[in-house]
Amino acid sequence: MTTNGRQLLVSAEQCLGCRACATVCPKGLITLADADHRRTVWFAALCAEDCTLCVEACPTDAIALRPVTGVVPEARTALSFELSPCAGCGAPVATAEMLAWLRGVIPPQVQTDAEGQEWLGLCPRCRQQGEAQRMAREGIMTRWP
Amino acid sequence: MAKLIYAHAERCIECTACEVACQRVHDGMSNVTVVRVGDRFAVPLMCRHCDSAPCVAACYTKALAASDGAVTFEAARCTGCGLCLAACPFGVIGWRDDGRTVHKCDLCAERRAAGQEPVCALTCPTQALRYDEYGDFVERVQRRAAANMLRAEVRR
Repeated sequence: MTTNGRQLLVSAEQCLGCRACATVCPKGLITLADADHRRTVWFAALCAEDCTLCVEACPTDAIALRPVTGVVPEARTALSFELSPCAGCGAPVATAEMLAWLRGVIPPQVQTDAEGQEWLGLCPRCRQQGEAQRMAREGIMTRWP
Repeated sequence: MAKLIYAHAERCIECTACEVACQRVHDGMSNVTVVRVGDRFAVPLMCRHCDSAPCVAACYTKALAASDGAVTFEAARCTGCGLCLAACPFGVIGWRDDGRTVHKCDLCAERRAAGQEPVCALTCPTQALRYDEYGDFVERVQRRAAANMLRAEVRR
């Protein structure tokens, strides 16, 4: 097809598979679906708007909008990510790329708890359970010294 | 030093009044979750306003920021990436119903601006949740531990 607009380019190496671009796009040109511990993100080939919300929202600068006229490919890009299973219950936590990115920005000494256990591989519910158990242990020692 | 919400876990009776109160003040979404442990304990959990907060490290738009001993959240800056949710060691950041932004304890910022206390601490019937300074909280824990030791001695 011929058009004036911008080609939506996404770098498979940079993309973390988070939901930022899909969330901020006012026209729903980026969508995602989670199923069976896999996340798929679909990027429309062409954007006829004039905002740059997706570019600004991306944590890793994985998106670019290149002005084009003339013939452009119609097919959208689909990126697929594994959703890491929780080390406690197996529920999907986040994409492996998101967790790797977090390991890079969170101070290393904060990534393990007082007993040296890594909590990043746990889902929010299991993290809550772990903390509740720690607090309960102290509470038990207070109620029944 | 700034006041935070501190929990005395042994006082929690799982009534979830804190969740109901928090919900009422925060558009129907509670920032506190009461988690049951075994069959004799429950613990109210919410944002700890960590000093070296991983959620602040993760938030590349600075929607989450350290401010005056607390971690504040500015929804207008949130891109809905979910990185903070994955970054919280205690799992106390949650998605809002629309799935576009997140929510977490804000120490009832609007109430505090009006000179009122966070509503969970105000509501808790057993004072399991208290709005305290850290030093006062520690002193209270130590005093109770000392009282327990004395009681155990007297019983002998």
